[in-house]
Amino acid sequence: MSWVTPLGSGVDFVWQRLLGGEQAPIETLQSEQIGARYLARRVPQDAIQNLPSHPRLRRASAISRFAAAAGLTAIAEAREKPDLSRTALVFAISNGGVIYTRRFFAEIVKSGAQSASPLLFPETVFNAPASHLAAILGVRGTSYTIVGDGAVGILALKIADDLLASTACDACLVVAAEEIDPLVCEAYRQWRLLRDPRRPGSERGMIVSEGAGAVLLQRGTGYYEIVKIDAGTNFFRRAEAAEKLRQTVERLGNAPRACCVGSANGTFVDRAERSALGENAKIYSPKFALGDSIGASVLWQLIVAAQALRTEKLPETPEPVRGSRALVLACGVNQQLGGLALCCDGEK
Amino acid sequence: MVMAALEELLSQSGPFRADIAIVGTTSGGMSFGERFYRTLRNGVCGASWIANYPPQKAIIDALEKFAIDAPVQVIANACASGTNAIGHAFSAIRAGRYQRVLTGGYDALSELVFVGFDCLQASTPEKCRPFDANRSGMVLGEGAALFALEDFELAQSRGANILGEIVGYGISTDNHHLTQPNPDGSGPRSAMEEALSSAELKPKNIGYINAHGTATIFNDAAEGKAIMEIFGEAPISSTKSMMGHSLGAAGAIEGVVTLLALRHQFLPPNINFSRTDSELQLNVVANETREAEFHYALSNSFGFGGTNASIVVRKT
Repeated sequence: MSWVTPLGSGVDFVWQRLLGGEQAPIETLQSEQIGARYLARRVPQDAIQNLPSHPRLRRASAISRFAAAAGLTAIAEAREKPDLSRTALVFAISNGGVIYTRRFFAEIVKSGAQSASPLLFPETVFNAPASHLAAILGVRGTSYTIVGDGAVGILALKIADDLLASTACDACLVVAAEEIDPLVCEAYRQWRLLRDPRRPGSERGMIVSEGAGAVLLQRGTGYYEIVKIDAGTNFFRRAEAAEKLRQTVERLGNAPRACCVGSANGTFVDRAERSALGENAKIYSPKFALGDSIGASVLWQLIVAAQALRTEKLPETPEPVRGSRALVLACGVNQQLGGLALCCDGEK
Repeated sequence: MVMAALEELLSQSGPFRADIAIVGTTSGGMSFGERFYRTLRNGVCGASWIANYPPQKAIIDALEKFAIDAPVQVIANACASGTNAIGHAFSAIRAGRYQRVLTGGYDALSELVFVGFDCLQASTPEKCRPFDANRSGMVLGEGAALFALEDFELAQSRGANILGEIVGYGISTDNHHLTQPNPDGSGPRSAMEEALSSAELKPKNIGYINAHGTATIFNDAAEGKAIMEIFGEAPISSTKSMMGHSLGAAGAIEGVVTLLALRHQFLPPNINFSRTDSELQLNVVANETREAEFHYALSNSFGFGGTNASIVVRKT
């Protein structure tokens, strides 16, 4: 597994910083159109400095670079190297290559269709980052890009799990990535989900972030096992989220859990998760330290859960994490939710 | 469009409680995103536009309207999305992961996509002429198509009106270029061969191929080469010549066309075909419908990012 986050890259490096109580620095972005300001947590340049040069990355947007860095590291650091000819790629995103999409469309609006860039358009397609990563890795079989909200990582992991249940592949690399653009921030601002830029220290409202996460799933070889994935369902109104999350928790089973890694981000999601799990449940959300990377967030949560089981520690939690089972819950802000149960049975 | 498709599906399927919805789209609610951008540029709040932008929104709204409580997986594999969604749904049912899946694809026209294909010179200024020597590009379209896909025995046991059976699926990734297929046709060939293998069929069993056939120089050359090599003279047509290229919906719409062709035993025409490409010795169903007796048909969808998908459908 691997991640590229606003606190850097490298699973253990970022983990130690999280355990140390660090939060990623907050930057302020501004809308070109209306001057609105947004708080954001961005990936530092040095987090992807070891990315190999590849022709596919020459003009690729940040999202593709994050994804490549996370995906290549996950493969390189796998205990058992997969046969890439039998490896599927499942990619999760929410907003996708929004930087180039905005630039492409802005030019059309400003100067007319004749000014549209044939270099930018292909990068606007949702599966462009997955295509680049597949080309870099040499994946020639199954490659799916799954799009959704902050719960999309659960849906992607579910597809990977379904693929591994068939004869389609022997391993599945699940990658999730997101990049920040002020246009996306403005959308969340208009939905009244963002933190007030005048109150960065508040816990109300989400701070968007960017980066990538990657996990390699293989049949029966792992130190960790995803024992159950619940693809959840859709909540048609925000008020329904708590009950639907509770149903997901119920379907994931009553076995004792060492910890729960949630998706609280300073919005209605916080109350929904708290209500679903009970007032006294311990829930840790990495989104307060790393920001909400939307499409990439579930993979970060999964990595946090895995690290918590392995190290028996959880940020912001003084007591040791006891047990071999963790829950990951995800509630997006656009009607999707789900969860999974992760077990750690290997030697420590 | 999605609501209309779902309403028609439910009127045919009888009681159908989907375990999950697996659908494909390329650009989702992009036209709403465009309006959001334009209103913002004018200094106006466009919250109502952006509310409909998320690609999953259209299917979630339709599920809500018809009181269907199922999770949604949206596959965005460019123009192969619809076929990928159907194919993955089929594979997951075959692997015993689900019993009933609502599947298909949808896409609506948007300015960004229209200008995008135009700037790549992939759109034609005249007629869409798939596989023709004088082909000059695609005509964009839009639409939605949905299927109630169900474990065959389960559907039989409840007395469902079974319209056809999906028996094979193949997917491949061509790493040649982000927007152009490898001219050797290896990407499409690999997807079609895998679909045949998954269906446990030989090429001679396929009585009709609904080709991806965008009418671009590069797609038709690569796809045509692969079809010639695998299938020889099997009849093919691209119904995009009549309906346009509806991107993420195309595979689902063409899946319906393929199903209808099997049920009613006809070969849909490839219209606007006037001159055979000397490089492509294909049995194109040129301009007029043909009657035919056949039991299996194959439908192709290929897309940006090098994604290729094929499904095999059996007459029931």
